[in-house]
Amino acid sequence: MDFAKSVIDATCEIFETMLMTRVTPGDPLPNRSDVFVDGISGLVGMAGGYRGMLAIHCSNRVAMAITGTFLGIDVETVDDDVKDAIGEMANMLAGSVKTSLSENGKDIKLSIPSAVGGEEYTFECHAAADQVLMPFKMPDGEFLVELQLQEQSE
Amino acid sequence: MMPLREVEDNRRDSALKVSRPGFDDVSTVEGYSGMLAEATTEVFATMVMMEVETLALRPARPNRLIDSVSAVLGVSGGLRGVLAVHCPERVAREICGGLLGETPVEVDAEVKDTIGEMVNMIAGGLKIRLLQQQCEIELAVPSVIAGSSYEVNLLSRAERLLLPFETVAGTFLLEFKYAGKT
Repeated sequence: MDFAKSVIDATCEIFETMLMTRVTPGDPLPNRSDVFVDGISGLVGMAGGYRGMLAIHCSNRVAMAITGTFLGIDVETVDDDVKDAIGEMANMLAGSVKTSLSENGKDIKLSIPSAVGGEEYTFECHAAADQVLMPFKMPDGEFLVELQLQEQSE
Repeated sequence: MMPLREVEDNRRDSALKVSRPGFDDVSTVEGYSGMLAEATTEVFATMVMMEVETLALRPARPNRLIDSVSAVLGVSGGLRGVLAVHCPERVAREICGGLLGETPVEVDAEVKDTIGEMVNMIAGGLKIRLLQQQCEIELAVPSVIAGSSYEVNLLSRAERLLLPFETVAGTFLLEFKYAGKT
């Protein structure tokens, strides 16, 4: 199973259909900094045939741009709309990845999404065997999609 | 220690309601908080080797978490939700010390791993209790957030409960947000 390809396909599709924005994937990263500054992370848990989580990490600036495009409004501060939008992005991305994994015969169910943000915070998730860290470029900057998955034995 | 005295009566009251065994209807705040209180108490008694006391449910918490460690774990299947634990740094370090025998002087990788594992074990306890009620849930993997000032928002308009616990090092908060079947 090519998890990196699932992440790229899901991200390009969701940004094109939901935000009418073209995003360009970069090269997958071997690891990332644990520390995020002035950023937001949206995350959603995945359980069932695979156990793990999907997260999107972005700067406040990119988060506000995504929210503005998504909701069709002007966004000037990181408010509840922004947190909801970034959590919902994680939810939609995970939904799309889930579909491609389900075709592989694995049933996956998603949890309720969360949004984490702040001036400086660390974000860690180690539990999984397979990890994808895929950076993407959009007109307003870059963001990172992280997928952590562990296949469950029957 | 002074402010604790004031909530003591309140706490005793709620402990009666909360830790009632044999929940007929699991889909109530009392049902879930009872199971979470039991699961947490069990984890502390068997793994952390630290006294823990269940306090009364809280109606709200501050959005911003200061000098804290949080762990977030997704739940799906028979119940779609997310379970989180929010610990002030001192509490997080002492819990790590209880588990490993030596209390780290700062929030290092071991402290973060401990808090992630703690939410995983509490969720495991919830899973076993829900299974006795014919509700089968599945667990995602924990993510751990730490920092001097951050927010953790469990999204959606699902039900939320906030259950605080008292330890010798201070209080920590368990947060559970849940909706119906996935």
